[in-house]
Amino acid sequence: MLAGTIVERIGEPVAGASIVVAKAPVAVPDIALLSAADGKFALDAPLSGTYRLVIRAGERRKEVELDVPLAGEVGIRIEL
Amino acid sequence: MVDTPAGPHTPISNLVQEAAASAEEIIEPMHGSASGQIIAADGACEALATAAAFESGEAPSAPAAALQDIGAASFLDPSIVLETVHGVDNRKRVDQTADYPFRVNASLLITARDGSQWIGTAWFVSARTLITAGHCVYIKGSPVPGRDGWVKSIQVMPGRNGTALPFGSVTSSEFWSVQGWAESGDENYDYAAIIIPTPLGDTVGTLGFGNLADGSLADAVANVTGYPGDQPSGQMWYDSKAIASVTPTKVHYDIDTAGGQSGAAVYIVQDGKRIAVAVHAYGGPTTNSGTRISAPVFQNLSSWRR
Repeated sequence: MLAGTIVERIGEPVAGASIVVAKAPVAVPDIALLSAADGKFALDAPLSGTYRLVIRAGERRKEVELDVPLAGEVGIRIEL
Repeated sequence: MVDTPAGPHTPISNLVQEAAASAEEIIEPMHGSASGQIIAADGACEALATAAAFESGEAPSAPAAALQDIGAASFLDPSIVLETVHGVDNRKRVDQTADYPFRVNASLLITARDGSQWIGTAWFVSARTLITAGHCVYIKGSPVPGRDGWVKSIQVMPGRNGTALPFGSVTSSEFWSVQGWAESGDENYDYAAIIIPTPLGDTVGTLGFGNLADGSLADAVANVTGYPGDQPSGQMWYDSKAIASVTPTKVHYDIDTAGGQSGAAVYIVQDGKRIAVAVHAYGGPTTNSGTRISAPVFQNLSSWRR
């Protein structure tokens, strides 16, 4: 699982940012998740491998690439 | 009389329903009663008034360099890389969302059982019915406890253009999918319907849809319009390319899409009419894919029309 928090530079959570899986080791549903009120999100990572997330909040956009291991949860904090 | 599909294509709903209405044999598109242009197709594709967001042949402007100035994600070993869809991003922004055919597409704000919210796309096939991906109405295989199952509600926003809602919005809590998706989570059955309480489809119009043979799909140009989450919220984007390959249950294409476009119609233009042949569902490493409108899918889509 890919889980994380999206925050401003000052550390405030960003609610309603869209999180898109732009790259994955396997085909994934082309649906986008919105970050919760506390900035948190959790996405399925069906296989181990490299995932690229695109985060969009208004005009701000960020890409992050992550290596997801065979099992367990990967946590990430993303600063816009 | 049309037989209801059985097996994995057996239709199911979150609500107790009477038997679905009989299906029509040919489903043609309708333009709707709304004012605004009826935009003729440009051959096999759409003629867009707005300029392409990315010039043909050019890569997106240096996102990697810009992102490094914004900040860094904190993780074990992050790396910032250039955005790619499949090679150069060929998507075009649609600004004429209140005109036909673009207004038949709706932006979806989906609220799942656990309260998480998602972005998807759907398209009208009748006054009160939109077609989308199965995973937009029934979440399957999530690692998050309490998330799997029918979503709680979907806000449907036809022809949305950023913050503008030219046809307003309506909330639905009536959904249909099939056993192959909801019970088995089988990607080959990833399609669904959203039933809305007001006949907005009479206003915005509908796409046609058809069960076409392999020969009709091979090398046909397919078009996909939807609401990608990697663009500013609520913007409609479009791309088209020749179909790459088909199987009995899927259509594969190298049309650029992004998360949020799940549920979009994959359509061809026949004699100037837009005819959907698949429901966009997955982004893949080399091609994207949609659930093909095969005979049982056609029967279900037809029976779901309200």
